[in-house]
Amino acid sequence: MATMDLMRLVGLEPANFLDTGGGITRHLMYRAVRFVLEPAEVKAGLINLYGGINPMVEAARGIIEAVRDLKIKKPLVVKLLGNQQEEAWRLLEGAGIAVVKTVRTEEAAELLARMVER
Amino acid sequence: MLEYGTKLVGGVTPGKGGQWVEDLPVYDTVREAVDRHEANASIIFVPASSAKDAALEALEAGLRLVVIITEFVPIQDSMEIKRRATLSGARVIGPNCPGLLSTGVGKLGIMPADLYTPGPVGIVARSATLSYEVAGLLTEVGLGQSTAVGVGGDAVTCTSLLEILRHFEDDQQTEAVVLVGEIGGVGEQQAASFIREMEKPVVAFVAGRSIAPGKRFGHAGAIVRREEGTAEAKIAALSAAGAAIALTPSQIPSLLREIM
Repeated sequence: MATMDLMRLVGLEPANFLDTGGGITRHLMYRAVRFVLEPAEVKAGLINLYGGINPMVEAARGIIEAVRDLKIKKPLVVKLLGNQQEEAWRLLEGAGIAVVKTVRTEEAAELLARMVER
Repeated sequence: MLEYGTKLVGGVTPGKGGQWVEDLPVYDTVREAVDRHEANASIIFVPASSAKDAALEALEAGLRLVVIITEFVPIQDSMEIKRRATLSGARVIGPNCPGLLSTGVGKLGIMPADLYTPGPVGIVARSATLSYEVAGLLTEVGLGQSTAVGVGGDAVTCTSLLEILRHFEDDQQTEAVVLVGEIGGVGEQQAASFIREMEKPVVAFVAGRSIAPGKRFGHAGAIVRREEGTAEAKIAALSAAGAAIALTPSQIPSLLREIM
């Protein structure tokens, strides 16, 4: 929810919201990305993940597969921290997806706002 | 948890007694584990349908601190666990929470330990992810943490924000507290009634200022049903009680410096 609050502050209006909860798998992330990014009225996406016990490499793989399979060209920023973060960043950047590696969610929102403007 | 240095002595899974996990023995019952080892706390990861069973068993075995990580525990179960905890004089944290971490002491939870560093700031939060973000922001600027507690995202939590504030007020290591709230319920308003009396300063951030009423946002407890459940109502109550209000998580460190 704070993610949405911060997005609003930079002029990005949330079209939807999905909280994955625990137990992240590749499959779950794939479906999550599909739900939030596929609809036509959605212009861009921000994914905010913190891996406490959740596996971030699995999350990254799910995101990458969804973007690739669904041919998503919309601006997308993934802010990701937590266990396996370096490997997850490597995978996402390798797939051409914008990654934010700091604690500050504002930075992800600001980056997305810039990408949307272009 | 082992990596952080927590003194884990064993595990309990009915039916798996006799096995070993990470060089720790597994028992069939909590009673057996407590009889063999000196344990005073427990962390529960069992599925929602058995969480109450596990929690009550832990309380009956005399454990004084029980953390329930599990999400989707039925509200009635939570209420019963909470009642038993009060009767036993025990502290149950959760359910649907990340647990707690005391720097330099141990971690009974799932938070990423490298975000935390020892220091004078206590963190109490409803949202786990936000509490990690706050810890990260504080560590970044050298404002270390004493203890961080996630009370959980459910509508009924076994320990309230207020109860944790009480602990922080009594805690020698803690000089100031960050409270991370969100829409839904009246926990923050109840906490505000205690903040009025606190000597230690509090910075509060409440998520969900942009939320419309009537929809649940992730956490079972994050739903605005009445005016009091809105972020605005909570911010007003906390502010009136003397808490400094952060409008974004990144404002928290500078607000803390101002009031400490």
